[in-house]
Amino acid sequence: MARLRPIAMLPELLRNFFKKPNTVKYPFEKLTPPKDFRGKMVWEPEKCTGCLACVRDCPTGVIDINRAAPDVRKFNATYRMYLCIFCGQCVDSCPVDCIHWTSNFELAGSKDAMTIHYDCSPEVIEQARKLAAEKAAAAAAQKKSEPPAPADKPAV
Amino acid sequence: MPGIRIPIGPQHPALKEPESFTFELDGEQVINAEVRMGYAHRGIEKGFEDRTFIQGIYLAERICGICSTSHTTPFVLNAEELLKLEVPRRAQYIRALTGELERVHSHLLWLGVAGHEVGFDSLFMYTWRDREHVQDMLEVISGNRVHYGINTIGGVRRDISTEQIGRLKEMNKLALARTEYYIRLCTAEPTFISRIKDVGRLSKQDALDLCAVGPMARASGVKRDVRKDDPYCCYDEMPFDVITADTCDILGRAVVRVFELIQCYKLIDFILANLPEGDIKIRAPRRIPPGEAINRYEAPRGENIHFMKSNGTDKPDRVKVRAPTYANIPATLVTLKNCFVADIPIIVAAIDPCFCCADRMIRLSDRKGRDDRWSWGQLQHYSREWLARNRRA
Amino acid sequence: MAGAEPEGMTVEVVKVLGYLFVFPGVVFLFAYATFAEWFDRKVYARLQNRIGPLHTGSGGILQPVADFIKLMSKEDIVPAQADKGLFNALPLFSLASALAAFIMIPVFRVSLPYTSFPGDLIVVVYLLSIPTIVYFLAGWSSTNYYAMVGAFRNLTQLFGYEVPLFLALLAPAMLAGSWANGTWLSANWQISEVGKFYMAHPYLIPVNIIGFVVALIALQAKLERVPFDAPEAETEIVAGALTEYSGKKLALFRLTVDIEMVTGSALIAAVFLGGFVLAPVHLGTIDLSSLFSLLLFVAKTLFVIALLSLGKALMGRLRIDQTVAFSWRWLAPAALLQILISIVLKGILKV
Repeated sequence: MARLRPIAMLPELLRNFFKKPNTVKYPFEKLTPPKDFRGKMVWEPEKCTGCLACVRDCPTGVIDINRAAPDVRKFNATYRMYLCIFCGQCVDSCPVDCIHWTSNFELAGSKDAMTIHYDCSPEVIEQARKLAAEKAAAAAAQKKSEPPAPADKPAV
Repeated sequence: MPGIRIPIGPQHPALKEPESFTFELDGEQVINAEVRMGYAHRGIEKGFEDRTFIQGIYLAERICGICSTSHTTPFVLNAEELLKLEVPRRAQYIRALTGELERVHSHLLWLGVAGHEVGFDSLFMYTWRDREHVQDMLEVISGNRVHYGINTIGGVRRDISTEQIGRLKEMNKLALARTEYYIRLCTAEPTFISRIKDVGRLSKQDALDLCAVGPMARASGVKRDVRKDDPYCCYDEMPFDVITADTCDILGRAVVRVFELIQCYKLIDFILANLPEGDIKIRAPRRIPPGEAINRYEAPRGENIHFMKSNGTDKPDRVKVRAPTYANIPATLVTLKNCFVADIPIIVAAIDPCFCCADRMIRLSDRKGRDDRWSWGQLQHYSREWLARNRRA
Repeated sequence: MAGAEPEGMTVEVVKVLGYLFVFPGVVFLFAYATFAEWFDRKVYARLQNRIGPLHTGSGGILQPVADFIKLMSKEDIVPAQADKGLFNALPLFSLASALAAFIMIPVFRVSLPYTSFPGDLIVVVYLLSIPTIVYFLAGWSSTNYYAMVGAFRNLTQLFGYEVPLFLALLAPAMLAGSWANGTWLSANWQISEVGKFYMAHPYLIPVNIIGFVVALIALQAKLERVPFDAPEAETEIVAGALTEYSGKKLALFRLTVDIEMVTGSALIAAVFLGGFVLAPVHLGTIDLSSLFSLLLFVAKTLFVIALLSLGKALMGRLRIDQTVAFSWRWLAPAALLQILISIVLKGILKV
């Protein structure tokens, strides 16, 4: 046990008196979060394949995946940020890497403002439709020219 | 004023979390202390049964904010044991690193809270300022300051880059220098020492009889540390000492925690220097075959026990958590006898209470094995009856 | 002339009312006490590497005023079992005695004959001890366990620091007393005379250093600040004697503490650091001595308050038994030592 010294903290206090305060005057000054900080999640709905892994693994059930159009396999995502705990499990579960973190943490708002819809853009849906139509035409042509054989064409 | 009974809690400036202590006093001396727990009960063990194992990791994390890795790690260790998975060594080292960083931030937090309970607010401000560096590092490696979410079944979710290793080494050096300053300060400041020396005595025999864990037991000379007794996450390969003190009072507990900080810095240096190459996780199936597993973890507050029972589905059948604070409560009641009213906050703070970890479900059964469980309907009925009877009061 | 007398008296009455209520009376004291609280909070924060109040007014200077206004607008709750008359009247008593104590300290060059008289040093110390007894009564009439413990600790602490404070303040006055009939016993317990003496003999100020330190420590105990804030220990007994007070009454109690801080520091500065009343200072034909004495008052009291803030940041809280033990073991003997030094020097120097 060291010797007891009264007013042992005096040198430290006086030294800190002349230093700049450690406080960051938020919101007038802001600190930047580091890379891969778990802030708001963003989707790229064009890449989504509808496997629903994110919906299954989300601890709080904030994700809804819906069909964008009845005839093509393209999906919209609805993200209810007011329930999200920002764990990032959806980012890990997604097999096609269409969910990303951002560093945005100033997210407070009303329930409506915090329900974010990531809709697949119409051009991509059109493109998918065209692709599906081309494939179907090619399959029909091949079918006509070949003897009937069970052809496993995935239903689009 | 002989025989007066006062409550400290559930809401009191001394308690950071709600717990109801009732003291029987004689003037300024405490004769007897009783505790009533359950104010922070949230039904987490029931919640585990409704969620898959992956979702359960995040629920386990949120049992406590300060010791969050202390709950996810035994949870995933249980799941991996039931799946008979061999977790890569790099993942185990990263788990140990996060655990040690959490121990650092928790002990610095405790030092500040102890200073605040005895009125030494400058110590509180300085230790929490230095703790910010540790929090920043945790944010860099895991994406969040609390609730790191770094564990997953089969390994860890994030890797550590070389640049992050460099920053961690710098933070370690800085924190070590500051901790050495706090050791010099706290052993020399007479007002602090006079408040914690010979206060809250717990003899070694009492610590053994009442099953105290963590720094509470180690300060009474009981050399118990799960990292040495029952190693997990490659702790048996890492060199560190178990710190004990034999003064059996709060000064001993403070000394144990502060010197454990020094050991943590040593461990962090070792881990960063010897991080093995390899994967950070292996693929784990979603369904876990039926079985039971039990695992212990050395949380900053003591020994944390997790029990898991699975039944072949993707949801656990039963998860039971025994937090270290729960084990330290009987010992606290003994240390509170014959102390002054002025010493109550610091004695309660000396176990580093984390009541939200501790409030889990107990099922009491009588000798014949019957237990009195009530359904929701029964509970409602009872509450209406009670209110009708006592409305006049 | 028959008409001049009443007019002269009216002017006199206006002057007295202005002195008592405007400057350096209630209005100035309110402004200065809140300024002193801001200064204390800023110094305390900077010592802990923080900022302190920042946004209310420039640099947070209006923060204590904002706190006062906020408290005045909150709901005032009186416990059902409390003694209502006593409970409601006590804040006014403590405020009145603190205000009355400040009037006796010669701040301004012009002082009224009935605010500066031989013996006013004793009167000030006496008036400053009334708020402590009022806190005891406040805790007692609250019928709350925490308030009662706080009230008892208040009185216990009073037994500890009051004697050293008194002795320490008396020592420089003894040195400054005038010789009469060849004995030194006719010390003149008048604050302005003590101040004048030390302004005339500034080399004697360092002689009282022990008394200065004792008086500072005892003042810290009187104001119930760390390390002597056992009567008001937030983590043990919630808020001590004032636990049940809210709204306007709490606002008045907090204002009393601020005014006590200013009065205590002004007293220490007046007795130990030479006072504020200067010889006449002229710039050309303008008499600037009043302005200078005001600046000197602000400077010296802020210096003392800065030392008190440093004391607050430096240490932890002592238990009540440790406070009393400390006072009787160290403070009282040191104060006696200071008195001994004063007596010996008085005999040697014959000033």
